[in-house]
Amino acid sequence: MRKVILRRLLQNIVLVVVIVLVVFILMRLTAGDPARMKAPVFASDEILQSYREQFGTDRPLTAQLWDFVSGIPRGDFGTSFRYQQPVFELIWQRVPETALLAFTSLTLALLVAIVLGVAGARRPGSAIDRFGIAASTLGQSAPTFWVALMLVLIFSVHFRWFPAVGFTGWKSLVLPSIAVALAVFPADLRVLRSSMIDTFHQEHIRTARAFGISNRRITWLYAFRNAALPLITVVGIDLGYLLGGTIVAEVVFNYPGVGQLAIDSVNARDYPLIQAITILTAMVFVFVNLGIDVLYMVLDPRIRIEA
Amino acid sequence: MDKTHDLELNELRAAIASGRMSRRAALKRAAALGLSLSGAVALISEAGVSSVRAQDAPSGTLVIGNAEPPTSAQWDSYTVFGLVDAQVASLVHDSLLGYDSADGAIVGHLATAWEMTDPTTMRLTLREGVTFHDGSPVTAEDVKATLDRVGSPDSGLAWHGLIFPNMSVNIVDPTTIEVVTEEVFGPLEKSLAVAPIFPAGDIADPALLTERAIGAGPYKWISYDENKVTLEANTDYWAGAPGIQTVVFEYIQDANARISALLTGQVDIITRCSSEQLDRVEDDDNFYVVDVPPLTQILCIYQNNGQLANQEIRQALAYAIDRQAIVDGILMGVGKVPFSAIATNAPGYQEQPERFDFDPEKARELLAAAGVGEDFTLTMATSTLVPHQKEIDQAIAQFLQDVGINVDITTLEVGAFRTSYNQYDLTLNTLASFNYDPDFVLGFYAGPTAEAVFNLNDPAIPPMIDAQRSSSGEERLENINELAAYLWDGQVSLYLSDELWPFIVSSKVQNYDRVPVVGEPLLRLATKSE
Amino acid sequence: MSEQTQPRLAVRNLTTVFHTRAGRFVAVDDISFDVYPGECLGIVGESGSGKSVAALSIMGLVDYPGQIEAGRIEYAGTDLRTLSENQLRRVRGEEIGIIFQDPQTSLNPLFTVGTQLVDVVRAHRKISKSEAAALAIEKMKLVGISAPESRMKSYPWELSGGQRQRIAIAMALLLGPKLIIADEPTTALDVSIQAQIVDLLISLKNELDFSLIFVSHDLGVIQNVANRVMVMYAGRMMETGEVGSLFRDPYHPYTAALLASAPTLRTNRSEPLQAIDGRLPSPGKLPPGCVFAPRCQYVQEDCRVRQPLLESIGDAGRRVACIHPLIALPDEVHV
Repeated sequence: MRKVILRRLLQNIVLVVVIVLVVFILMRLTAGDPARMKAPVFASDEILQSYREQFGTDRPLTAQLWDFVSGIPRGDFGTSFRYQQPVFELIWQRVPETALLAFTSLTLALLVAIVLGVAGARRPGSAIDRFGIAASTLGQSAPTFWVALMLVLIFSVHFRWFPAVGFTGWKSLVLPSIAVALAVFPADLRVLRSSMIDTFHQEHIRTARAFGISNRRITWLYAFRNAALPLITVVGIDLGYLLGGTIVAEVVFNYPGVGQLAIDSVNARDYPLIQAITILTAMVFVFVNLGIDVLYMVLDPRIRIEA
Repeated sequence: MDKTHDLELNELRAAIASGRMSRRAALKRAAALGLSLSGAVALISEAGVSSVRAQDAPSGTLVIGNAEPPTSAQWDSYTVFGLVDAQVASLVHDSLLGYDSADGAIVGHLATAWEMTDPTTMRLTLREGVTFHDGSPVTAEDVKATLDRVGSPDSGLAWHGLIFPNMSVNIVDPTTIEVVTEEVFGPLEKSLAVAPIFPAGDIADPALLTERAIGAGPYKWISYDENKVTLEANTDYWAGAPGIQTVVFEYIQDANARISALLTGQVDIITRCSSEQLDRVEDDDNFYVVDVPPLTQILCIYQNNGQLANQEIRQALAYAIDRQAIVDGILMGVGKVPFSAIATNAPGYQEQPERFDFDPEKARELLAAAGVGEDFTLTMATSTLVPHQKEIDQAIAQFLQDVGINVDITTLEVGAFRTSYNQYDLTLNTLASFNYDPDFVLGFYAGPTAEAVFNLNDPAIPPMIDAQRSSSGEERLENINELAAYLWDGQVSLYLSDELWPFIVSSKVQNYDRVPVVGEPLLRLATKSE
Repeated sequence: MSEQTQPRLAVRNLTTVFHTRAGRFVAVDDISFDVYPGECLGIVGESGSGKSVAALSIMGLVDYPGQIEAGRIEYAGTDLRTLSENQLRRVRGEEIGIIFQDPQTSLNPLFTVGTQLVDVVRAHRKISKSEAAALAIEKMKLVGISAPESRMKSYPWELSGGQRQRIAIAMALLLGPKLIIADEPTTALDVSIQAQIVDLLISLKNELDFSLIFVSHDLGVIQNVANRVMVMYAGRMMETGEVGSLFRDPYHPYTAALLASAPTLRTNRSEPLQAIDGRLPSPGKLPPGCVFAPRCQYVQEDCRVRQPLLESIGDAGRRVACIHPLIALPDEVHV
């Protein structure tokens, strides 16, 4: 088991390195000079040149790459062009907020998916099942930014229950996490519902019933543990949607997180910041998926033994 | 001034000081007494008129929502042109001259009196007893250090050449200085009115400005955390404490988020609003709109080196495009169509005799006369830099196609657009003056900037720029108009519209007003009720 | 069996139907039978005959869209159909145990054998985990599992097919039920192990004195295990009786055909081995008369019209649903 995880880890590190190189090269191939983004629209060449010197973008690509790569082991991801601060600090300041939002959204999405998915699977075609399917269709087809806007209009502007922008406490989390959760939960719900229905039809569930195990225990222990395996896989895949949704929500709610920083950094062609955020995001993916592999092994002894 | 005058002046001073007479009325009276404007303003400043609410302690928090953050985390105002940079600078710092009312009259701030002793020398008397936020006094040395730096041709500062020419400061005595420009420089008063005075120590070591800002303005710089700049009232401000205790400039990237924040009361003012945002508060008593822009134009930049080198073709384009229809239809009236090459609120603006009103027939005639064939194609790049840019560009392209010009539109991401706009025949952009003087904008049409922006190298233009720079008063306005008329008649660019800057303001904020500069010099006079 | 003893289980007019998109079809059609203490009732029939559904119906384990539509299932004098879900839950495992066909799928792959056994005990008895484990180990020993302590920690898929089925039997025995339903318990096993499991069940039954319902399509196994046998076809009971006499002298043509197709049990070994022609009628499209008529080699005209009733014929306890049973009867008996 340890060997498998170690091998995965190594594979993923290689993956992260490749991603970083691709981002490094792509950013510099696409049009948009960071100096021009920083300077006034019609700045003179001298001013532009002084910015390029300050950023180091006047130097050959190989030298820039070496600066970048050689800094990483020291934890030095460079200095933001725009903010003139070490990018690691910039990102680190915002990680808690984004992590909080992502975690709350995922928890909310899973909660909804589990409640509706299990209830629906227990009685396919029932009112609650149809509600779950309708809600997931709605969640899947409504773009996050639109949902976010509607939530703001209704609950911030009209009722004044929650703040419309910024982060001022737990109340600031409510609307963004609902908006993100709404985008994330449908896939979870569908997968859980169908795998739960499959599981309910499996013979070992009939065995449990035949031996007088209570329905609650059958549902939440015997069936759910079986049905949770596909759900976990989907959650891993969903991570992309989760982060994407988080970025959208951060922009719409002016939520001070990494997502907003990412948008800003791309707009400003802030290479060091973009690179660092990419590495961070890639590492989050790697570790979450590694965590999912481990969770899989914990939940499914068959995989554990094979490994 | 004779004795009678002195008497009357003393009476006037007393009237102003006791609050019996408004500042505007006092100015009129002073003018009637034959006092020069600067003299009158100096009088008023001394009388303490510009302190509107010296009696009350500052209170409340005002949050201003902006679509952009400061352009950098350093507070060296002379290196940047960003909106937030200017907002912060205008409150944290004081300048020799400044603005105290919406009429845009320049009054003494750190200087109590000023006069031109010769065409290149301005002599100023410094106000005494003014201190920076750290308690140190504002001295002639601070003024000299600040202005000498931006006046140096080797400064490398963004402001040099655009807002200030080559110049230096002589200290005559501790309260008297002379600003000496190399050449005659007409906009000097206006430039000094937006030029923050830094402590000499910060000028000697600009690295300090990456950490904080210290000035002598009505607000103290407190903190900056990428999203928010926070300022606190400077109760020791020489003209009296400002009305509001805390001012926060918050960066809210998304347009919907900005208006939502305003509607929920999380933000009190949102800046540079779109017509959609204005629609949301129409007929809403909880908000009012202040739309005083700096001198800002939306123009379609032509590259004057290729097919558009031909003046007749450029004029044909002017006739072909219904500018009023674009302003009404797309900008929903938020804008004003000019009939000259400078913004309609610019000093020296005059409507030109040839208005280039919408006339597609005439456009076709001119195109035919220029020998333009059916395959005449112009390239255009569009993006999202300017509000409604894509819609405006579509409309322009449609108008041009109606007179037989093909337009090949490329959509670029903002970064790419900013980098490569001058590779296309037509690109929409905005041009703003930072110091309420058209010189700033007119300067773009000469030298390397003209080549970079417009691919323009017209030897007739630099002498006209020098003429308006080196003159003053009415004569200068004439010279400005002459250059504007030249650019207009030649249709060097398509002067689509003034860009208004509508700010939506919560009714909780009283006495909020603006002058046509980027910053917020009048904000200190505003108050907020909870 | 003594007729005086009360039956442990008395099923009357059990009808189980399935409502599917294709329509309603009757899986078990109005069958009645008794199971007496200590006896083994065999239920035989081809797959699809309704024998498993009948067995599952007893415990109310027919899944949606299946539904018991009519009948009484009296266990120890109580109609199980009148019990609440929770009351029924207490009967399951405690009073009636069950052994399913394929222990590979009927045990949960994600939980150890021990966990599942302990869970069953603790669903019924308020005792500690270790006490429950001790009980489980005791039953595992009883079913002949070596080193039961270590097997407790095994997952079902780590065990051989035979061991798994022994675990399933141990589970059925856990709480000492008075009735065990074994639904094709040997079908999924290797032939070599089938006999062991059958022998185990027989010896356990004798030792522990529970009643056994043994569902199988394998007449050989039924002959070894059962005291009485019930032959089902297309949801209906064709014939029932003492296993010895029924296998010796099948009265129903279907029973006869079944016996003839079973290589090990042919009554007359000179006759060639013969499969039954045709197929079970498709559900919902039952023929109007005798359901076996289309495949019956003795079919007569009235068989296709009139549905035969289950009637007592011949020796004690023998009942047959056939208009023309394979027995020399006086002509007047014919209706």
